[in-house]
Amino acid sequence: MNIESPTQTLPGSFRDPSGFMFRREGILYRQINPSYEPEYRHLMESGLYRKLVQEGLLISHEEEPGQRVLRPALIPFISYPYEWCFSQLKQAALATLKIQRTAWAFGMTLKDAAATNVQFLHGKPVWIDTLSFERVQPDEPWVAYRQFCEHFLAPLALMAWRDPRLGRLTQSSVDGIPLDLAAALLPRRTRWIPSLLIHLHLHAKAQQAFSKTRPGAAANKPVQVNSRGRLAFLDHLESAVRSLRLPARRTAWSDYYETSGYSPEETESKKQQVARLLDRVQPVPKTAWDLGANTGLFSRITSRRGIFTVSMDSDMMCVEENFRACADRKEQNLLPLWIDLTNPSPALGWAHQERMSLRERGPADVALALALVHHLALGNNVPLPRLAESLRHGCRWLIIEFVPKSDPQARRLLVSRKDVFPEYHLRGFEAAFEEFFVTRQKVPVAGTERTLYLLQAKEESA
Amino acid sequence: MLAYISPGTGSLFLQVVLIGAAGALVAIRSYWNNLVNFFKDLFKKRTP
Repeated sequence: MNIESPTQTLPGSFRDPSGFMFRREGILYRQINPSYEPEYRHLMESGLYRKLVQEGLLISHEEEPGQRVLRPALIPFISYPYEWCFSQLKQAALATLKIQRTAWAFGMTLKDAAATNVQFLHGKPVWIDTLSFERVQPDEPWVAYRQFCEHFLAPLALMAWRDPRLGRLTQSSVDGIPLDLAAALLPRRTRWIPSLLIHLHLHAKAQQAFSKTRPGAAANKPVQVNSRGRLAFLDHLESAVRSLRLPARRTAWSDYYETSGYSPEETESKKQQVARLLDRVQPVPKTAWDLGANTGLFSRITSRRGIFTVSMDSDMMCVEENFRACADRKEQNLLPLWIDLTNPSPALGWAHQERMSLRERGPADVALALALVHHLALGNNVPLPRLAESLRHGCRWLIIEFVPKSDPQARRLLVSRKDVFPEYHLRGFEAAFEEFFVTRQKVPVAGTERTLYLLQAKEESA
Repeated sequence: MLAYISPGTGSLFLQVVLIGAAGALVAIRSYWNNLVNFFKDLFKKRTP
């Protein structure tokens, strides 16, 4: 983000009366409003904060002396639920329930359950809103039950039971998927699954039945519930989330490395070539974006060097496979995300300021664009100069592979369509990218007609 | 209950019903376990 003033309130945090986020001299802070201070004190003094931070469930922070200002640990890359694969959303849901269970044990509760309060840090979901906790009595129900179902259970159920791509619904419904919509989209047979029947189908009916209730009639009256029943209820919600699984299936991309025609030796040789180009990037990069990462084979070249790498692909099943591998190997520097570069995440929410566009979250120190150019240029008709300009916004250094029309993969893209790309050739590629980048190295990819480039972005003219 | 997000009247109603049912089940299970344990103890006492 651009920082113009010394103290800048972040526009995305206006909803919460407990406090807000601001940036001063490039550092992110959280202001606590006086009304929230007693709740914050309880969070810190009851031991809840320490317990949640120890378990990696809540972002840690330092207090600025005497100012009601917190300095939270930094999240290397802010991502949003519509960019997560199924397992990322499921892990975030389970983390939220675990936080709620722990909070109850310390006499507090989560007052909201927005999926955007979860971010990924060191490969695991972490709650980032320190001001989401408030004190409750042991006989109070969970105020954020509705929000949990709309933000987590509904999209997960739709992805598991209808189609994984429905995860994108969370982009158009930024405040959660309305339960009547989820119930209408789910297959009828999900009514026979008790957890989905209760928390989604009946829940939607209950909302509808009470939609004409007089203002203030019931919601404002204190409601008392059984405290043991409250925990059993949370168990049931958790088992509902745990039971959701993606159907096993392959997509056009998820077996790319097996079917791309490369031998294991050629793939290894290309990895070494990329690694050598990366050695030349100065200063040593801290962040990397792997664009069109598939299951993240090349993302590991940067992440294993300690460079925080965002591994983007437009195929959700590839992202799913990538994330599961990250989770299995406990990889800390890799964040797989479901991002379609031909239609990247826009700025969303009130005044376009609640969620950042992908471009606002850049630029990365280095970007990898391997086996990507032909898909964007030939598959999506993006002229090379426009592609170069767009990549210039996303990174300071670029390792990019040019795939000529004679390459088998490029030929496949042109087999069923008219070749309307007379400028798509090596010279055209170089001319387009020279506008925005300086070529630092150029090497042919062994065993192919492809060429790898190490490019450095030119300074933007004012 | 006043919250800064709306809990939703229907959602709150459903949750109260579910917690009531879950609480009842927990109580029945606990009662049943006590009953079973009572007879188990009785049986144990009779065996030398």
